[in-house]
Amino acid sequence: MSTATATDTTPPIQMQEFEYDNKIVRNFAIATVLYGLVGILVGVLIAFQLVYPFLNFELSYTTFGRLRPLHTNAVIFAFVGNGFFTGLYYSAPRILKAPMWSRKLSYFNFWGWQAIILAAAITLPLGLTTSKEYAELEWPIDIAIAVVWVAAMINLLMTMVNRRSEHIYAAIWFYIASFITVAMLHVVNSLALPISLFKSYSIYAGVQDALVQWWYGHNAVAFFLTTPYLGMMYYFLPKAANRPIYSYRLSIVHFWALIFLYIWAGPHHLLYNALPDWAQTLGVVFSVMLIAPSWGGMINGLFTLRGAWDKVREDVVLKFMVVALTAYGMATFEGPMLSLKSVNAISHFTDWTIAHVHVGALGWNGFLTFGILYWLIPRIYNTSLYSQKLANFHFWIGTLGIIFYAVPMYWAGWTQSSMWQQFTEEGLLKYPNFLETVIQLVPLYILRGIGGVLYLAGFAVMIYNLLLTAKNGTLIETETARAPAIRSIWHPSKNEYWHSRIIERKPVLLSILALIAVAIGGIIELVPTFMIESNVPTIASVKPYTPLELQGRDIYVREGCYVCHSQMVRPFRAEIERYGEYSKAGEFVYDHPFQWGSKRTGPDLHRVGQKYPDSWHYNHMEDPRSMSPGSLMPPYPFLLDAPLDTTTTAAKIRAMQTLGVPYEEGYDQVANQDLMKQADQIKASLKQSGIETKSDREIVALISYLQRLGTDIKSNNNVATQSGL
Amino acid sequence: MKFKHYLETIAGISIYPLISLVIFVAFFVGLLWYVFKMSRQHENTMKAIPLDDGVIKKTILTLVGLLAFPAAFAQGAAASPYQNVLWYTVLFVLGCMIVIMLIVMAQVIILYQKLTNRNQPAEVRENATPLFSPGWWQKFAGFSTPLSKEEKILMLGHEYDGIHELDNRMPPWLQFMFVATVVFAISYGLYYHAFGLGEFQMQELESELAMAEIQKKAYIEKMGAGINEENVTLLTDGPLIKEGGVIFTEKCTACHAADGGGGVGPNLTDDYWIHGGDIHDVFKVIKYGVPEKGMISWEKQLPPQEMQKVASYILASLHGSKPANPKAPQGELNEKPSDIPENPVPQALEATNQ
Repeated sequence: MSTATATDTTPPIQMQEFEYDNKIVRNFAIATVLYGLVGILVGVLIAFQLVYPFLNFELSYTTFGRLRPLHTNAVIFAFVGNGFFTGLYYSAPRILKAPMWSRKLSYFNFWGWQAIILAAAITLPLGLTTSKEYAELEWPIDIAIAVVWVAAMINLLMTMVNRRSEHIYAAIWFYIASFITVAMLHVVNSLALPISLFKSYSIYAGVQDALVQWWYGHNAVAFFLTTPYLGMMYYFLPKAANRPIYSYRLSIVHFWALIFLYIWAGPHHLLYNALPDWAQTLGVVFSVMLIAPSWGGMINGLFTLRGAWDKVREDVVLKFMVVALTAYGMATFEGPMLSLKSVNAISHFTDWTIAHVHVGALGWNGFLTFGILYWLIPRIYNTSLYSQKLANFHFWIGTLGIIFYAVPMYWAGWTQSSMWQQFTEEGLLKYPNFLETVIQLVPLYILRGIGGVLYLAGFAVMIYNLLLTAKNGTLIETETARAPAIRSIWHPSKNEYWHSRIIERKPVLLSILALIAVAIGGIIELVPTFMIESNVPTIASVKPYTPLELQGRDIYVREGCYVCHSQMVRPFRAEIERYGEYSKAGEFVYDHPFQWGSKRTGPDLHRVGQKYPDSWHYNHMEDPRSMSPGSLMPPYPFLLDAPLDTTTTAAKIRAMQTLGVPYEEGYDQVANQDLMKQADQIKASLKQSGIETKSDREIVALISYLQRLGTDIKSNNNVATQSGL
Repeated sequence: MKFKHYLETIAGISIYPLISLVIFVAFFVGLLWYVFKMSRQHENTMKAIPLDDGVIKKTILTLVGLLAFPAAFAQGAAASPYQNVLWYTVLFVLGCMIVIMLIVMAQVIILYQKLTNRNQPAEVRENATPLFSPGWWQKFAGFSTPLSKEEKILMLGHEYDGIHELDNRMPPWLQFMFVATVVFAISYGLYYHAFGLGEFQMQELESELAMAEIQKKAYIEKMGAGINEENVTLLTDGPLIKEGGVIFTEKCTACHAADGGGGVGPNLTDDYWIHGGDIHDVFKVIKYGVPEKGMISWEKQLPPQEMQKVASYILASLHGSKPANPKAPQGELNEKPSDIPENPVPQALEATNQ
């Protein structure tokens, strides 16, 4: 099956001989498995950190706030990314009947991507982060990603140009659209002003930054986790089932509808946030319209198995693929439901979202990758799978793992949300202490951790199985194939569809049309938010951060506080009662980057300023459980000793000025004086409570930032002067 | 947020309307299934039955009978406060039944036509199928071409490493679903942005707060005026003070220490008070907090009775005790209750800064 043979009955004209490179496929497969293991291991660790805070090890490098981005990046970019490249480098040459255009670019892609992952694995625990979810990596790595990604795209595009098949198959459309869109998203979202090699500020602020980020974040899910894998499904499922694809028409319609509609749906991550109503409406309606195009992929996959369902019972590869497609169908139905405002009011900021993404990641991406690996590895090693039994074991324990993961998380999300919103008859919050709503979830967090362990166990079994499979066989490094040159077979059938003639045989045009399709939604949503001032009403009393607060904010960003704490009080009675006045768009105009967050494992912090004394924060950071018994927050004792680096203040102020924050001309030169003055005040206030510290410690800067949060719109002027302005 | 009120209503409602709904839905699903699965043989036996057997009459009578039942039920429950929910339930059931009735009628009409076409040639008769025949379902589900005839719809020239493509038409149900979501999207946009019918989040908040205000007022009216800093009294009842102690342990010990000796917050056992030391003062400090100094407001977390209990616990139980690790005295010596000053905060701040 794996060697392409000319089955045409017409006499072969000028058969050409060429080679498929299996080594690069093997390399990417190894990377996939390796990083999958790392990603899941870190996931299991952070799952248990939420139950046992001592697992944060009181080390800055291993706190939840730094490891969670490592987990998401490892799973998305290292595991799924390498998984995509594995499938791409195996399937694309075979579909197009041509080796990859440039072997050098292929290997540049491989080593470049691994170097990026290595850089991510080092920088994220070090706290070098932009704090934009799934785009946390700092600017030099961002540039490297763009270069490697575009190199891979050129390689694919040129292979398409030099192909030997007349018509281009659906799998390739999905691949090229993924490349184009991710390149666009990545570049636009990562635009930042560097102040040093490893620190930069997003050029967008507040609402704009949030909108760009979730335009990116949502479509990273769409074009990094979904479309590349749909492309792989289109190749590996019919190969494994040995059945023709159910409907060519469906693949066309769902492809174009999917890529056009997906791009618009980003604002559904910001429902009930300080985002203009029209943008929220777009987010809702485009999400709902996505159901059928998303299901088009699932249906085309599942219906392809028509007449082969007996095989599904026997073949573990197909089992994995069927569950993957089902998980995809569930997640893409749930997504639009979560985008309805009334559902989102319940689900947002809770573990429901976590459950939803894990059905996608563990079910769709994980299981499809496993299915492909079980099919692929024996083929490139010219042997059969070492153990069907172990693969079956992996299938069942993996499925069990997903269930153990998802069900408690759905439960947790619903429980916590209900607790947040309940009132007593007197009109008070029934659970005024946020912590009560978290402690309630601990048993569910344990179950979720067990789910993760089960999934991990299955993964480990797969590694063993694949290793022994490889050991039993020998790698076929290159496969020779023969096909006629495309010019000599240029005889499209007369009744060919128009779209096949004008689009699907023209790789460059196809790419350009895909780019146009994905660009429209972004332009229509982003441009007005930047151009029309009424979208972000300004508030006169909102002032730029003081230098100390700015430094403190960078510590907040570095420690990944946004991972568990939102800064977005939604306009609900329950949230106003709990946190204070709802958040307004105009309050965030100096926030480069925004810190709204997407999950509340801890309470919202937008109105935390002046709520507690400085000493409370000091003690709470040293040991959260001293101030909030039972808290799940990691301790941050290292912030108490670490000296604040004030050499960067001037550069930070200048960068902010460039980005349009109205500091006075030349303020960068005197900023550190103000910084020390404010730090001394906090030191004095801490001393009053019997805490001895130096003014130049990181904790002082962090306290100043926390005490400033959300206070600008309070009428009480005393408060504002207290924070040093 | 409307969903929340739904939940409340469902929690309070009697289960019967729901049960009736389930029964009806189950019945009609069964009926639908029966009609759709009607086989050829069954039709043939039906042919033998004379028309005046009253199939149509019976069907309609049954449906009317069923219609009458929930209507009677609705009348019985009309006086209950859940009238609206019931009304919608009934409307929903009625709507379902009307749709189903139309389908059944269509089926009956087709059967009738078949029966009257008995004189026509056999071929014509056999090709006439009821609405929703198995073939219809196959088409609707997307399997209009049987597996055996697949070669007919194989895409020519589409061969990729052994993968072929069929040219099946898209499943109609999926197409309908897509059209339905597009219609939803357009209507949603019009509803909110063109007709201005929907509430945006700020209006939603206003109505939610207004509703809360009404509920709160109703509660106060029912319970009588609450305790406030003006009329609060020192509790002397042992068990109530003990309850105050429980609240203190839960909420206050982080800053004031378990024995009231102080920590982040001031010592509560000595005779020095920053904001006054009688029950009115202590209650007021608990209620509104002293935000400048870090004492948070408990107004939104504790009902007045509980604040009274904690205040009483502090004054009756903690005050005068000997803590293990007392914090140095802060504020003014105030052994006896004094008048409540107009605005005690600035002086107190001065006092501690000295």
